[in-house]
Amino acid sequence: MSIEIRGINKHFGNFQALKNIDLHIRSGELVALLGPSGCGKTSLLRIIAGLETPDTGSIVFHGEDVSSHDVRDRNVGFVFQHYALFRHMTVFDNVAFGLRMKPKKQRPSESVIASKVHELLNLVQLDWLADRYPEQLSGGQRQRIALARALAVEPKILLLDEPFGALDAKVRKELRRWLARLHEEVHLTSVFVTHDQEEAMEVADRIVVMNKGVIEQIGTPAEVYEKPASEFVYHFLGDSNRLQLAEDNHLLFRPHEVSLSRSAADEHRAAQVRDIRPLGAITRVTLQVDGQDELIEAEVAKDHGSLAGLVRGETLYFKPKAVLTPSGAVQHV
Amino acid sequence: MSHRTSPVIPGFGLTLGYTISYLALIVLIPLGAMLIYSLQMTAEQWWSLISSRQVLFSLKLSFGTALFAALLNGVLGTVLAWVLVRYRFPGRRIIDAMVDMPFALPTAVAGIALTSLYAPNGLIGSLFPFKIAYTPLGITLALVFVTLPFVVRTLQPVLADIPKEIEEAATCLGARPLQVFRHVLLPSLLPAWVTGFALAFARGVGEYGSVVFIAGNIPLKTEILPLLIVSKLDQYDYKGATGIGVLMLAVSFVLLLLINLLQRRLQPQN
Repeated sequence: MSIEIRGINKHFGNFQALKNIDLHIRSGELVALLGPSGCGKTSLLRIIAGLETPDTGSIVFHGEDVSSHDVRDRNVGFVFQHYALFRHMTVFDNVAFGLRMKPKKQRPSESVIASKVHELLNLVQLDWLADRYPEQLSGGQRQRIALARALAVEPKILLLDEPFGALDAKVRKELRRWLARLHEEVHLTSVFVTHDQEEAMEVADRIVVMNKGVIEQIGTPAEVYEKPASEFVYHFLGDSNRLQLAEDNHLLFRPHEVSLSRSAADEHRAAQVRDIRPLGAITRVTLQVDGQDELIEAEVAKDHGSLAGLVRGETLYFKPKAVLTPSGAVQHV
Repeated sequence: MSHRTSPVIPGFGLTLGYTISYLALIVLIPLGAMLIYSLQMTAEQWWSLISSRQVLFSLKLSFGTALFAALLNGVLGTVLAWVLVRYRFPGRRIIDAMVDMPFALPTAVAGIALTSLYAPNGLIGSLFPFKIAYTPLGITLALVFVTLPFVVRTLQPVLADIPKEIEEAATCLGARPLQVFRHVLLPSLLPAWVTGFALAFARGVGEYGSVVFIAGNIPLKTEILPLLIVSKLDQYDYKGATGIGVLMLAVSFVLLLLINLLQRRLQPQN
């Protein structure tokens, strides 16, 4: 089911959380709303769900304007950052909740509910936890149960609010790959909110980059990374260096898009080595350039020739390989 | 026996010893003394005392009005706690502070104020076609006033602890407001609610100061048990007073024990 967001504005008191948001989400797509905290991404997600009412604008699901529909009539699955599981219910009862709350006429029998719940628990690979209480589960397990619970009512749209935000780094990585696989299987139109660009790049079909209540750019992970629409997007999607050329002229480039040399080379600039950090597959070298306080970071493979025997204080020559031009595109040089 | 070592509070032996001696001095010794004193009566004497019409009537009245008042506060207190926790409005802090007033106010003052307001010719009492003061209804009213804080104060922290997301999650799953309350909020609130109810009930059974003024103290109509004890004392019938005291103690103990057992069943897991 497609989602059409038209001219959404939202104020909280004097603060304008969303300014004229227009967005089209295609059926079956997995879209990430990416931005720093306070950019309005969660408000937008809650407006799509119907948990929040916009000041102006409309939400259309598959051609039907649902703006005036109540949350429970929109048929969306919502997954919360802190799981929001019902503490006094077992995992089974949590997942069964949505089915049991249906009006009598539509409510399936307990045996149908039971088989449906076990089917979903198998889908999230946690069927063996059916009789436990949420408190007895780990964070990752809880979030998978929350997902199974949301899927139980067969929503047309799945909305996830920072679904992995409360988990530690390793579990987070596992779970987002798992979510991407699950989306391949279920193919439900899904929107998830995140402030983690890596997460958005890894999971989403398309990324909506937001800042201060407006959409900065919409595109595939490759597009937003390679063709950032603004300096904000460029900065937000990865680390960046700033190299001052003249009083009012500077270059932006990524730490890994840099060529290093031990001896003076064509177009390379000299810099003093301030720090050398081996980070596993890559090594990060921090450089100080004359005439600029801001340090430059370069990341190269750990066996890069320029690193052999390198110590702090030595002089190294570097050249950005791809820079962000003032016109907005990333240019390879 | 489980004793966990705490880095802050001194050792288990010391704290348990303190707890027991404190409880003994304040609670157990006075109660024990009453039980021992009551042994001056024979079982038959005690039985005939408590099976007298006057005592039986007062027993029913005391426990009945206390139960009714506790139930009433169970509903009204829940609404009050809900409003105070869930909404932000001007004057919220003042209302929040006012909830404790019945604790601070001398109960006699409350009793006199309620009586003059709800008497047949009082400001509020005159508006009603039926009598409020000098009836069991008046007694209940005084008890509702005195026990108001219990349910509110036990529910407030529990309510504040239930994230709004829990309700939103239930709503997204299609639950109607009443279903959210019945299936999601109520089960989480019930253990605390029962505690508040039990406290209000126990306090109501023993309440004296506020009730004597509004009750009118008509034998077999509005005479509560604590009043009966006091009137026995006034007549230097110490044995009779103690006998009734023992009766109240026994009934209260059984009821509170039942409430505690019920509460244990309400806790989902341990």
